[in-house]
Amino acid sequence: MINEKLNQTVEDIIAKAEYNPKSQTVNYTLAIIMGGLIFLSFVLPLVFGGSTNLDYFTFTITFIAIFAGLSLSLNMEVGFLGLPNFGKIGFIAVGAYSYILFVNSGVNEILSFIFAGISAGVFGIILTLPSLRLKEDYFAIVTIVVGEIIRETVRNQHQLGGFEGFAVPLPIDRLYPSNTTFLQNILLNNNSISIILITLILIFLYFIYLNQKYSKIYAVPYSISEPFVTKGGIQEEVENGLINFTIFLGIIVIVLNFFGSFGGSPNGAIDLSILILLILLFFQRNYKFALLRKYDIHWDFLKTIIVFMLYIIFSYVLGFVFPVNSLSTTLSNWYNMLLAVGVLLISYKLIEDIVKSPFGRTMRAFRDDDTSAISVGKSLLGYRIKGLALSNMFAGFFGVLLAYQVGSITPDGYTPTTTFTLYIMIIVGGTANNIGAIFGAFLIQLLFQAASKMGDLQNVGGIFAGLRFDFVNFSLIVVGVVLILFLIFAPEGIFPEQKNQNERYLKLLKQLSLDTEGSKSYLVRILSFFMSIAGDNSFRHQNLRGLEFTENTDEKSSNYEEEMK
Amino acid sequence: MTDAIDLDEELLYPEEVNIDQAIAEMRKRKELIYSLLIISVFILVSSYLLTVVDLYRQNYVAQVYFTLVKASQFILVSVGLTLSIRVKKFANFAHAELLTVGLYTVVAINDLNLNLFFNNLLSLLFFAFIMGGLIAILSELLVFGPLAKRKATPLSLMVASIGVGLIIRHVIQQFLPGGGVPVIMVLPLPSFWLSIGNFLLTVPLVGSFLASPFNDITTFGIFGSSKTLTVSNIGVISILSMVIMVLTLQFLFKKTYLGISMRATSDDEDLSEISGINTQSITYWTWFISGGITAFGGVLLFSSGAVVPFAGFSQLLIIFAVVILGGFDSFEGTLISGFIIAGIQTLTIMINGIIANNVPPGSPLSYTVFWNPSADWSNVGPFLMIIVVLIFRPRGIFGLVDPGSKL
Amino acid sequence: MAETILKATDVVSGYGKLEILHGINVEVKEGELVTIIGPNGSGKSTFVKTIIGLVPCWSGNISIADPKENQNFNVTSLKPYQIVTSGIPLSYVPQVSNVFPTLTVEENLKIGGFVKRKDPSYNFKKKVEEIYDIFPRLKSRTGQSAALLSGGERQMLALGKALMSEPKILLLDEPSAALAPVLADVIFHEIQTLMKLGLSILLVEQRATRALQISDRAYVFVSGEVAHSDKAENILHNPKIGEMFLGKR
Ligand SMILES: Nc1ncnc2c1ncn2[C@@H]1O[C@H](COP(=O)(O)OP(=O)(O)OP(=O)(O)O)[C@@H](O)[C@H]1O
Ligand SMILES: [Mg+2]
Repeated sequence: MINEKLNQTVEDIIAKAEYNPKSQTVNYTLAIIMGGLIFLSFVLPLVFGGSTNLDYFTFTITFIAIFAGLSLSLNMEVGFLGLPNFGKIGFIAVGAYSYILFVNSGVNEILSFIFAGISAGVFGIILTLPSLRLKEDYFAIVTIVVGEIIRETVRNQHQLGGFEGFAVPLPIDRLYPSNTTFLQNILLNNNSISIILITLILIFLYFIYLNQKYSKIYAVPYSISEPFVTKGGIQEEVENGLINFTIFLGIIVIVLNFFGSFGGSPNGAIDLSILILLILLFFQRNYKFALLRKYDIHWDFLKTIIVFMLYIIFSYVLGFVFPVNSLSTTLSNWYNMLLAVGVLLISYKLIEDIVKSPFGRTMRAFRDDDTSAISVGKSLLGYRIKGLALSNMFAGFFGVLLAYQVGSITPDGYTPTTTFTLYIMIIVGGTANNIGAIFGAFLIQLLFQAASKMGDLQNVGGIFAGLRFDFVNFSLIVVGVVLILFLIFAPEGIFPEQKNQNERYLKLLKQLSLDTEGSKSYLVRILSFFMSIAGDNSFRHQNLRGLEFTENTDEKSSNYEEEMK
Repeated sequence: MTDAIDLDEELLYPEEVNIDQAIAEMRKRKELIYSLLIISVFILVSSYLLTVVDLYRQNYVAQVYFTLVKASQFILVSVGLTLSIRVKKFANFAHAELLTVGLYTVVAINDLNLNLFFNNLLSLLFFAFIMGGLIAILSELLVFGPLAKRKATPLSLMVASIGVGLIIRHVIQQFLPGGGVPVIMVLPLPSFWLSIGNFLLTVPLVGSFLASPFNDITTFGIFGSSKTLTVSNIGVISILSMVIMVLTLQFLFKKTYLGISMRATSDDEDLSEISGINTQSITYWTWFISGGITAFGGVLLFSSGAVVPFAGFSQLLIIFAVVILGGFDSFEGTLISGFIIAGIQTLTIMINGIIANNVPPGSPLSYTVFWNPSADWSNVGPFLMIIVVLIFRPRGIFGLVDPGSKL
Repeated sequence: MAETILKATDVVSGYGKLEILHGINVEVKEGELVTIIGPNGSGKSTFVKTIIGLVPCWSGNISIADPKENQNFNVTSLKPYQIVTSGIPLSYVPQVSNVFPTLTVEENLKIGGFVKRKDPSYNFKKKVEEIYDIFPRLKSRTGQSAALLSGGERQMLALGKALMSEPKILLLDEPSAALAPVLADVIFHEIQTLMKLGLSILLVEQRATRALQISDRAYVFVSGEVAHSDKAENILHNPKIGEMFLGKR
């Protein structure tokens, strides 16, 4: 009976979707060709390079993460708001400069970091003014000029560092006594953190177990997260309270540690990754009221936890695999990498939620046709102000991270070229698609880093020694050619903008309707999990849920249970 | 078949308002030109007087001359952009790279050690023109043409032009003489050129004036002041070639088949096609002229500085400032705004110099950004100008089309 | 019997992958005024654009004859400018945007005559005067940009521009569109004057009754096909067509 209903629904969806001829596809061939070629160039120096492989690796990952964050921010403006901001670098600079000015005037690093984001966001709001008056290409030129004015001003004003700029001290220098090693730090000093971590892991293993158990009785993939929502009553509250308490405890302990006033646990890198995880968990659990519909949260929740588990395990394992001998540079690289990747994941999560929320939908409505969006009573000004403030806030955050990574803040580090690079990233990856923006940044930065590494190796040894070829320069030519090829032959990029109803979704639905129980549905579930990690959220429970084939969840689950028996 | 109809003219054509508007517009432009004339006379006279009075020990006459030269060079490198915007309807960010192409054409010919027949100022400028034009055509052929055929938006054409710029810049760096190392262009004067100069010097009274384009340096005394005005041949040639270029373009657009076809193509491509204009070849011609003038102007602009692959790119925004202030696709506008932008540049540099050298530490002005003697504000003035103009009068001085809001 | 000057056989064409015309047969003889009528979106403009080459012809054949020179041109796969410049005496006035707005009236006419600029016997000045004789209203607007013309003046300029190349056959796409009835009458009057000069005209019109009154033959287009073709008078008095297109009950 349930199956009949389900089949009926599926047919309805298919019938509806067939009216929408434009279906989403990912340009897999493009992705594989581009990604493969560029990855090769990344591996080459790793294989033939000298002894600095770990640094190369961490450096690359850090740059990828930072630029992915920046292109996410740009993508929000260009792709979702429809405002081609060509002065992005100016806002990145505002972030970096306000960070260093705050730090130099005695504000601590964390607060300065937050202030940096805020000031970049506030600066972003000024772009609203020209955007209301000007067409796209004129707006683009105004913004590029705004960016240049910011740069020229700091260059000429010695209170703002002038031509030489500032050096950026890493917080890690304060955290690590220079005579301990990274490994020692992990092994000797992880006191309260390990306990919290282990508790968390246990709790989530329990939940995953619960999931497995309950999911078997459901035919559709949303069941993975079902125990989190359907089991009301005391038990749920206790569990929730436990999780929230653990999270809070963790955040407090780590933050205190970070500032050295609580026993002084110095393993900052690990602390930091856990801190990020905890904040994220807290967000996940508690901000569902703000942005997302009820059922979305938990699926993402689980996904994020798993990603972060992998992330922490990864950082531990790598710490063992590559024992750190030369402490300061390698360690600060390591620290930067964790910080950048962590902030990127949080930002991705937030931006993805923003653009998928009703707010994001309205943003896209303004982008596509502002007249009709206004005519249904939305405020163009308000949305632009909010959108620009948000996206440039992220630009400010990543601007600080970029300054960490580069080690200094100078006016000449903020030329329009960087903005252009970001544009290339989002066009190659796919505009108005966050995964696309990240993937574009991944490809282009991989290429850049590999090129600069090969350039370095010319002076060191290996197969590149003595080769008189300007790899860095050549990589820029390659990028230019790639950009133009994409614009001509695949203007949508590797990951085109997601449409709601799409082919893949239909295919899976069909599969689902053929086999709604047993092993197949389990397979579909796994598939859908990986798809949603890859950013394709179309195949998600709320699509089925939205059709309301059952009203009452409790009743439904009991029905299902009966069916299974 | 019906009979012929006789109707009252007035009844038939009630839309006289349009024409009044047009006349008013034209009058406004005339007034603008007159006021510009008055302003320039005022600037000339006052700069002379200030120099004589020796205010803040500055040579204002020389500043005016520099501004004139700068303005001419700006106009030379910007007019091509106006032209391509008009016909292709997008902002070409690769435009500045055409300037670099001109520079490296000269550098390459210098490097080849050819005889003076190829390696002199005139033929170098000529080759730069040809090369700039060809590269511009190439970019249309390989990138902008195919994109336009696929109905690309102005924005994606613009992004594509960023890619084109990137490629040109770095291909130059990768493969051409000098690479990334700064080089100095050599622009030797042909011998007949020098002998014309020597001959003209013998003309009474205005001799040195006439000879100034032909001699390396000519020095004029300023009546009533101990200061002098030193004029280089490149400066005078810049001014002269700007004037010649403007007159030629004026003739081209108003009188010739090519020019009128260009304007027609920029108006309506389909209609031009059915009127028998080969819009494809007109587009190539547009690019050729646009790229050529730009490369030509670039050589003059950088004649005294070091040449690096980023040379043109560094001028990109100034070029855009000139074009936007002028109204994006208007030639008269570009002409006037070239002078305005050059004037603003000179003014900011002058004010900066005066404040930095004359204001003692501790006075209120010493806290302003201008107090820094090594500051370079030459771009900030024009940039602020762009923003103000685009926000308060988006169509620029002479813009034909109101860019309008997105609403 | 007059010679056939334009002949379209089984023309199939469309935009992108969308087929609009499904095999059209139309013929215009020397000195004839042929009208195409039909409902909105039936492919009238598309057909004219296919003749001139703005829309590619998928299959079929279009040929234009120049009876005086005894030549026959196959224009099926030519680009617009190739058709116009290769000596084929054809001019086309589009339905919308048929003048260059930023150019002056005189320059617009000049462009019309560009095709003949290599012909020594062609006198541009004289030709312009001829046009001004036909449309005296334009003369006072010579130096004014076409964007500032009124709707009627603009149609006249478009016609004048088309006549500058001394065509033998004229394709007019709704010359009376968006004009007040009085002005439309003036345009129809001018068309009749042109007929007296010996031109052949293929006219696309929405003011069907008015157009049929002055034309020799007519074709009725319905969704990309020729639904009917006959002498203009017959169509005018055909009760069925009258009911469908001409608003007669
Ligand atoms: N550029 C285009 N791209 C795609 N389809 C088009 C294009 N121009 C016209 N069409 C379609 O082709 C069909 C025929 O259009 P056409 O302009 O030939 O009609 P028409 O008979 O001239 O109508 P009208 O009397 O309104 O001028 C219409 O359905 C229209 O939607
Ligand atoms: Mg039509």
